[in-house]
Amino acid sequence: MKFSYNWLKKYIDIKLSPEKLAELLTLYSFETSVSGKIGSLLVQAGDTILDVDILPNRAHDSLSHYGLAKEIALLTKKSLKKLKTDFLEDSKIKSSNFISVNIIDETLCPRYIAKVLFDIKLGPSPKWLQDELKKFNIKPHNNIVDILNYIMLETGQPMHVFDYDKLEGKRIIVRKAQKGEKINTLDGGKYDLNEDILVIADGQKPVAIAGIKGGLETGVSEKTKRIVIESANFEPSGIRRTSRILGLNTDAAIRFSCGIDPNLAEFGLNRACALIQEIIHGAKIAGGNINIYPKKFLSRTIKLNLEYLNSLVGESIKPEFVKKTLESLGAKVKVAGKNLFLVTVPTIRLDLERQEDLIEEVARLYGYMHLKSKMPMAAIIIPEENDFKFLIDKTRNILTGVGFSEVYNYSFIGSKDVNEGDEKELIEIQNPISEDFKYLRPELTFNLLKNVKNNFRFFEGVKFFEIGKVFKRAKVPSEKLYLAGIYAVKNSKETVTGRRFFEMKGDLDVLFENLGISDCWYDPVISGKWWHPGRVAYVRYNKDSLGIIGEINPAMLAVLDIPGRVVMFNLDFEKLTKIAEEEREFSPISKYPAVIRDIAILVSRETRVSEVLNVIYGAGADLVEDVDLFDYYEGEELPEGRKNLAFHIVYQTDHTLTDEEVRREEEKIKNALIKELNAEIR
Amino acid sequence: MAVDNFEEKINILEKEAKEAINQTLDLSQLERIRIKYLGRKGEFNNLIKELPKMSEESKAHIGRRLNSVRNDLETLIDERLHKLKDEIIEEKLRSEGVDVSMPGRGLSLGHLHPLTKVERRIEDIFQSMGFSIVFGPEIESEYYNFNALNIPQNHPARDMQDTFWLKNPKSSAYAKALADKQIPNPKNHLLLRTHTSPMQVRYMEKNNPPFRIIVPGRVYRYEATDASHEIQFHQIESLMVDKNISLANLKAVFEEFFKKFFENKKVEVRFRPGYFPFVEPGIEVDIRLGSNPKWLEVAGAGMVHPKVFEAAGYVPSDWQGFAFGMGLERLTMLCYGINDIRLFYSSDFRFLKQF
Repeated sequence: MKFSYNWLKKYIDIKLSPEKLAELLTLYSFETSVSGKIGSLLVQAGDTILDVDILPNRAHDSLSHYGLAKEIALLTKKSLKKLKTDFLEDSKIKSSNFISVNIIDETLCPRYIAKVLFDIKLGPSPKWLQDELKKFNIKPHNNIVDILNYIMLETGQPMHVFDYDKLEGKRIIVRKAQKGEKINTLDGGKYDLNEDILVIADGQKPVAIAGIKGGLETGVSEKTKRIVIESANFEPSGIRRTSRILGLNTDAAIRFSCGIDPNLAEFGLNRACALIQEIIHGAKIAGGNINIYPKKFLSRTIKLNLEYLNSLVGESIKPEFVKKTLESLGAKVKVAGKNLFLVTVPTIRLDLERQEDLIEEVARLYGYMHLKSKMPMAAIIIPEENDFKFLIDKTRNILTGVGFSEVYNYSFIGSKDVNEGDEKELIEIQNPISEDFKYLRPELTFNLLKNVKNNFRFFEGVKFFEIGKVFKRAKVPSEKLYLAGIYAVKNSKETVTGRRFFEMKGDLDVLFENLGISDCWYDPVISGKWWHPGRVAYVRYNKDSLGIIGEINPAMLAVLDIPGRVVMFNLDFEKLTKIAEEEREFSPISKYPAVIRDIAILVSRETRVSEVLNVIYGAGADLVEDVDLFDYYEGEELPEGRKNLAFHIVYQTDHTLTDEEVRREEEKIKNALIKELNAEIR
Repeated sequence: MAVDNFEEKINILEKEAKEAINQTLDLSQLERIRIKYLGRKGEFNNLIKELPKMSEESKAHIGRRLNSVRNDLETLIDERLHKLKDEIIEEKLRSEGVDVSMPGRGLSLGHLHPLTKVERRIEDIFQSMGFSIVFGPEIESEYYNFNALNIPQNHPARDMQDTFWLKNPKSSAYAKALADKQIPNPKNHLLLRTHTSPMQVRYMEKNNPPFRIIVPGRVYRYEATDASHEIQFHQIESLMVDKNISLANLKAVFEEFFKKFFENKKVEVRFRPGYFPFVEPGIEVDIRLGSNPKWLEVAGAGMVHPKVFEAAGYVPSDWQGFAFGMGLERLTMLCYGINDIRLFYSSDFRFLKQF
């Protein structure tokens, strides 16, 4: 809330400059800064506006100039001037003879005071008052409304005024609205009401949205002679809910929705009457109030254990200091034992509910800056290693080691990123910030592709990876950690067929090897529009799919306006982690020498290397330790439709191999290749 | 044949051979010389063949002389061979010389994201102080994000954290309860977590004190973006619970952390009053670096509220603990002097390659 420095000075003698005052408040109470101007209007010369961040726990008592002055008085140990709340009543008229008040739902309206005033001459308020309101961007209306607004800024109690002669049946009923009821508000708004909304009604219709805004028809006008002032208290969460449902946030709503002391209602009303009498000459104030206050809000008494206080704060604060501090807040302190106080707190401090709240008051006024730091006296604990975290970090290191840079993209994608019909799979945000952030990302790939396009403006190639959550709308919305990479080259030359694909695949192999995963294989995918139909594979471990690697379909890139070649991988990082943890086991180095033999074959061009490997491993299951493709050739010298493949085959077992054993194994492999793949051994 | 004459022959041959060896300039010529003098049919063997014709007494003497010359020549050839080889290598290497002032070539490493780098640093420091790292979900229920943290429905503190709610027909139980005017179970109402604090209760439900943890993670806020606000950012949450944990302990942990985090720079830590419903007392933590007069807000903190212990199923009077949350972006911006939070999510390589 904004506060006027000069206004505060009406109640207390402040010697500090606005800057010093702001610093004092920041250190002991509320974050405060000196703000130059306020709203659209310039502040009068000589005044300074303070921007004080009053958080919800202190909105009860400090969202007003008098309330803040009280806090400053406490900090500066100065006395606070009393507000003038006495006025003269006209003994000939009594409020209760003119109006009746009925509260239907007492939990939503703990207190309602109404007072009747006669002979009100409506007109502009004095200049000083108008000037004060303007500082806070409140438009002056007329003397009576301006006074009530002023009192709200002064005491924190919102009030409302009705034109008495416009109230049907001379009754005020606090009730829930009925379905179909409507109200036009003072600010020109029109609202449809329902049973969830608390209203102030007269004999016929709602005349105000309780605690939020008054109705137009019963508001004061030039013709007004007799008025009813409402000073009430409303239950906070109801006000907050209504204010949100209607999208109507007013100064009154802010105060009521944080909760204020019901006892403030009377104080505020008396202060208003005193000021009305001072400003509007000839106004007659009826005797007595209509004061519906069924359950009086009493002071709480809280037990405060001083040992606990010092244990929680970690300091030895003396009992005398504690007592003095709490008393300066307006509390009554009774010593109830060696280390026990009984503290009765003033009703205005709704936030003080339990002993921890009192401990906070003592600690902050003791001064957090005076607190001596002490390392915890606790057993030495060796932190648990988080395997997941370990593998995330390792993956990041490996991928940056092979040239990938890490990105953090948004967890959202836009409606433009989604094909029609696919939104059913996505988790939608109920209140998106814009159409571009409407859904949670189901994959990391969408945003990575966008990264390529943006970076191609400045770079020839892009090699990025991201580790992040992706979101699926299964039975229940679920999230999973994924790892995706993208490798894009603007002017990519195919020196080798599928060059970028194989470069990326090599990077993945490095990743798997260093994570200790040895048995991943690549299973070709028959795929649609997104991937290049001949250059995409599932990454599998046993039968389980870990994800996919492939080149993006050039036709798709053309649509996205991305030149060159783009390859991507997309892996379920949680699955990868599980496998890495399973496989993290040492296998002993063989004591027996390995024998390496090469084999070159001609096979059909359609035959995949993985098929050849399967045959070799299958036939030589006993002795073959490893097989590496070291040469690959297709060309004119070869028979039509054939290609040449050459492999190193490593034989090793639990004894030293003889030539004869290796020869027999080789023979088996050759026969199998001929039989199963129609291969020609060269 | 006279001995003198034969000795003279040896002398001539020796002199001739030595000269030839010393004058050779390449390896093949040297090899030819070796064959010419020391080969099987070489000059030396020719001389040896004449040896049987010599008298017995001179045979021994001449024989020794021949052997000694032969050894000398072999050594000489060997030395010459090495010398020539060295020269050749030297020459070859000379011709391979490069301009060392030309730029180096190498594969470039990728770059870790600056947030990753700073997060690791923070984690390392806390791990060294005995804190374990745990993670929590980004899709969270209203219950853990708010209710369990002493922020009930319609509490004004909810306005402090504007929330993205999930539109989720599957949690129809929630929608139905609302329609029927019942109080719906907030565990069924889903949102994107607005802070990492939900892990406080989630962790305490499954673990008993004493413990100390940190929870790094991404959080979301429904707010307008500018140079210092983003709809997503990262927090590092911390929770330490034991019998006697105090505010003074919290201060010590912060001071130690910032001392290590800013290494040699002078850093001051300041506590001032703050308000978060899940701690009491509540603290705002400011730091001031070097000679900069400005205090910077870096964390919210406080002593765990008894209601939070209750929500986790603890007996509040048995335990005391501190909790805090720090903004990772904020610290990273301080670390590197980055002035716009949106750069972190721009995936702009001109930015990323600097880290």
